[in-house]
Amino acid sequence: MAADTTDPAEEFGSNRSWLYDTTPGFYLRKVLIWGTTLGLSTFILFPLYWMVVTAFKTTSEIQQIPPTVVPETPSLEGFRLVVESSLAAGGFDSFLGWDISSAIDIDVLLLIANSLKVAVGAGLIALVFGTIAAYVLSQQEFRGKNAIMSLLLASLMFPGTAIMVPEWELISTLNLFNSHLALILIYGAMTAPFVVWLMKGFFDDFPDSILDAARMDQCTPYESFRYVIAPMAVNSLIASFIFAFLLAWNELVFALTLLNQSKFTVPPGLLTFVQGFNTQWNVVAAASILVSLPVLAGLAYIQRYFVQGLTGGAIKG
Amino acid sequence: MSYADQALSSYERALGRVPDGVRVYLPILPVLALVGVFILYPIAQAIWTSFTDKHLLRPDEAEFVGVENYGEVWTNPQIHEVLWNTFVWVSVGSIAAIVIGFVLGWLLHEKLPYTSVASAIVLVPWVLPRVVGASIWKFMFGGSQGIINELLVQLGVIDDYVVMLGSTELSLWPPIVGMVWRLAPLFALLTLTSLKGIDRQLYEAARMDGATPWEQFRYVTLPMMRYNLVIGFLLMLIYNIRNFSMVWVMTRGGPGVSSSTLPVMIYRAAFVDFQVGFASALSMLLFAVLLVFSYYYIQVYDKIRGEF
Amino acid sequence: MTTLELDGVTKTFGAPDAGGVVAVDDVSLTVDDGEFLVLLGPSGCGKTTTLRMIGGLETPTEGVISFDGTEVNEVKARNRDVAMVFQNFALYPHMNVSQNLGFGLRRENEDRSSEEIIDRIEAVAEMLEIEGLLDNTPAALSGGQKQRVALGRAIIREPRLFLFDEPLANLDASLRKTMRTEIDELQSEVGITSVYVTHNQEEAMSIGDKIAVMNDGRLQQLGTPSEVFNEPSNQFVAQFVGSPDMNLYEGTLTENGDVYRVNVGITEFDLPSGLVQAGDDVLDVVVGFRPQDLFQSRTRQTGGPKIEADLRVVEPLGTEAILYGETEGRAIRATDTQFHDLDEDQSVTLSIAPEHIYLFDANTEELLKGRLMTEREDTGVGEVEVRDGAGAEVRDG
Ligand SMILES: Nc1ncnc2c1ncn2[C@@H]1O[C@H](COP(=O)(O)OP(=O)(O)O)[C@@H](O)[C@H]1O
Ligand SMILES: [Mg+2]
Repeated sequence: MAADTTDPAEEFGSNRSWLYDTTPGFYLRKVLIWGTTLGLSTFILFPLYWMVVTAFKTTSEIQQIPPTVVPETPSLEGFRLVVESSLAAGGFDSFLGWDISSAIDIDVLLLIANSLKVAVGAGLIALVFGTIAAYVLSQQEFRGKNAIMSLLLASLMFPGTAIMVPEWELISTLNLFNSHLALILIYGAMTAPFVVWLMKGFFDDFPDSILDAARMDQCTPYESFRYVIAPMAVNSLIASFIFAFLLAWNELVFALTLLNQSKFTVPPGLLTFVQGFNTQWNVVAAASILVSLPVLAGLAYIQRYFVQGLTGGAIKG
Repeated sequence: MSYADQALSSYERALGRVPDGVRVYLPILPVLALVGVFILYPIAQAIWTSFTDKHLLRPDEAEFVGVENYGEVWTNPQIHEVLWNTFVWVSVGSIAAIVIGFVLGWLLHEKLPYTSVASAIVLVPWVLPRVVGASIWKFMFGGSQGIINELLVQLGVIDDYVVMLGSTELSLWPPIVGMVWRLAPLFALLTLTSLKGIDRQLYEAARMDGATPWEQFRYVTLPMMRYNLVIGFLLMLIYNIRNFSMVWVMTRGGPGVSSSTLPVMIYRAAFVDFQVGFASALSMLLFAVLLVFSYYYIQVYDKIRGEF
Repeated sequence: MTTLELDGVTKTFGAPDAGGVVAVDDVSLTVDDGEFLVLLGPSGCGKTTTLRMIGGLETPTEGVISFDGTEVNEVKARNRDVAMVFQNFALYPHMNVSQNLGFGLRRENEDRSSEEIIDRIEAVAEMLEIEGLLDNTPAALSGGQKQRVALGRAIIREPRLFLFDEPLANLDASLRKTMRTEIDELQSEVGITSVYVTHNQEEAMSIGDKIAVMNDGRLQQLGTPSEVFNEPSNQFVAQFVGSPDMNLYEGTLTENGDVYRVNVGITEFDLPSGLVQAGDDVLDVVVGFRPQDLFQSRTRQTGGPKIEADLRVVEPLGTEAILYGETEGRAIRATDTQFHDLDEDQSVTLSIAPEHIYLFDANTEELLKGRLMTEREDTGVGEVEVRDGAGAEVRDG
């Protein structure tokens, strides 16, 4: 700050900056801000837009050069092909009197069913084990607690590519190769630490006096859990489950290395299709949208918990 | 009333028989077992395998070969290109994601309406199944009908469509763009969350002290966010270095190894060339890097917890 | 109903030898059937811990807690039939008011009919005037309403014991006074033995049948409010109870025929030896004047020592004021109703009746002479005015 003798008006003047306190500066800032917003929005949103419009293009429109930005003849052909091929793969030659002949080799519905099975299984395992552990880690002091928490946090950093080879060996040793159980267990192991961190945050904030009140109201530990903790935790529990579910739904590396094509989940299934010859992009886009829907629904629910879950509660709003 | 019915429930009695010091660990055991068996044990196993010449098709004939695999890690003709790719990928990808994400998060917080809806939309690239996101970019970068080629032609950057994904010079970049698209929203959300966490009164106090908007940003916002930014930075590094799907879907690491990063090379070594021992040695390399990042992540994490 | 007894109860957190905290140290006391005991003491002195041990939320490290002569140390909270009201209310956020009230009843006996539960909820709601709130969730209630629900949750079970842990601390001042009266009335009505924890001495004075003053985990004194006020067992109790704080001055006590001569520097006076239980000839003492007992000489003749003081601050509190003064470099506080004509910086003469003076042994801090002397009216120190409940008249501190 300037010396005391400075005239306040003069000091005020010296604190003014061209960018903030002049009219051209004001417009320049406006332009910069809206320009940046526009540019970044386009970068983030255009691919999503492109996926949607591609899904609604006909197979012939897909092949046009240059590509059309807005579908000329919007069509559900992509979605129809996805469903038909699934039905065909399911052994239906006709469905409700409707002849099915599909040249497309992707059984999206089976992929989705497989993914659901794996994701729900992993989600439940992570939820149950993770919540129990989180409760104890939050409420009790004991030796090695910090080490365990750090270990769990570190294990969140590792899954995937760093251990795909040894994981493959382990699963072979356990005779679980090409089984969904293997994925359920691995995804459960990958997401349980997530759940621990999320639920530990919940339990840390859980007022002790409520539990005391329950004890005074003659609850056994089980009743306290059943009637007091569980109902209060329900939102966090759902969020935890969705986290675990999403990870399992999206995971590619283990699904690709530990399953054969017959048991593929969505990510490797889609990958195989995308990398095949003559990829029909409208079908890919339609299938992509279908497999993304559960994810988007989940996102809407867990948005509030997102940061907490991702960073083990390190960053809170 | 008498106290004859001081009954413990049956599970309380069962728990009572477990020694005090052990009881508290029981509920943590399932998680530790899962993590131990499916994450920690494989890591240990990989350490051993990396000293053998294990082959995927003849796993039983593996023999101990000492540090031969690690020697190969140095001499392998492709490794230098892959490491360089990984370095470029991680540094360029992380910096771009951080800059874009930070600006986006700041805009969401300061300038844009409907913050919670907008941030949910922005987050879509991050939560979309990775294969889906990668597929979109593969399609957009396509050499024959790709919209990006068309865009570049329209802008006059190139004269004719270029097969970017199939070119040894260019193939590294499209996956990086896709990855930035996927990670920037995450960083934006972290930024947004930590901006929200800053007490408004701090800005008012700074204004009373005569701080200009820039000074407020420099002396209030940034210092308040410093640990969160470091956490975000480490997360970006970790996600980038362990990424596999974006590259694999778009280019499979090719042509040659022109777009391969370390995870892709591990996958190829193990599941294309079946050299499990060599792949394990590569895994150790990746593992060591992740260990360093994780260590710092936990350090920063502990600092933050200490602060609040 | 229930007589509560604590015998040598001690609670140590952590290993006793390795830096453990002794939260409650050898506390023995009895609460008679239907009695209202207040546990009073500064925060951290072990009140809550004592209460939680009575409720069964903590187990004593040593000593015995018994209800009607039956030891309950090992009885779990849920089997003690005790109800507790918490400082932060601890209402179940996911239940509405009526569910909060009924929860304990249902847990107590799963077979209880819904009609009975509903009847009792309605009865309690009526008693507490919260009938209109039964369908609200706690989040929608004001502090006072939450407090009533918390009270209702305790009353509805008609337990053997009520435990209150600073139930009014989270309410604002005026609400605190009304709720205090209500709790008092309610307890007399249902006549259930109660233990009430507070750090607010005024609250303790007004609500308790008996007060147990605690400090540093130890019981300092157990007595009625007027005993605690007039005959505090030691300097700590004397200072903690009453507001504004008692004036304390170090001095000496010398035997001088059939009187004791007390010299405090700022003044000097004689006390009839019958009033003081002093053994030695000369003793270092601490002399205490309650601000309420110091009067301006012009207001009232007390017949006791006079103290010249320079006024520094006059703090009006409505009908009376606290006078902050200085005498020979020592601070002095007094209260008086005649203060409107006083100027700050003017000097006043204060005096105190000898029977109102407190004396403490400076070494042990034990009481040598208290304030009430009804049984010693033969000492000839003029008329002894026994204002019953004088202690209860003290203002909010
Ligand atoms: N669960 C606990 N673990 C360790 N120390 C405790 C625990 N509960 C209370 N204490 C300690 O015991 C002492 C008395 O606490 P408390 O009974 O809560 O005091 P009060 O209610 O009088 O304020 C304090 O020093 C407090 O820190
Ligand atoms: Mg307390």
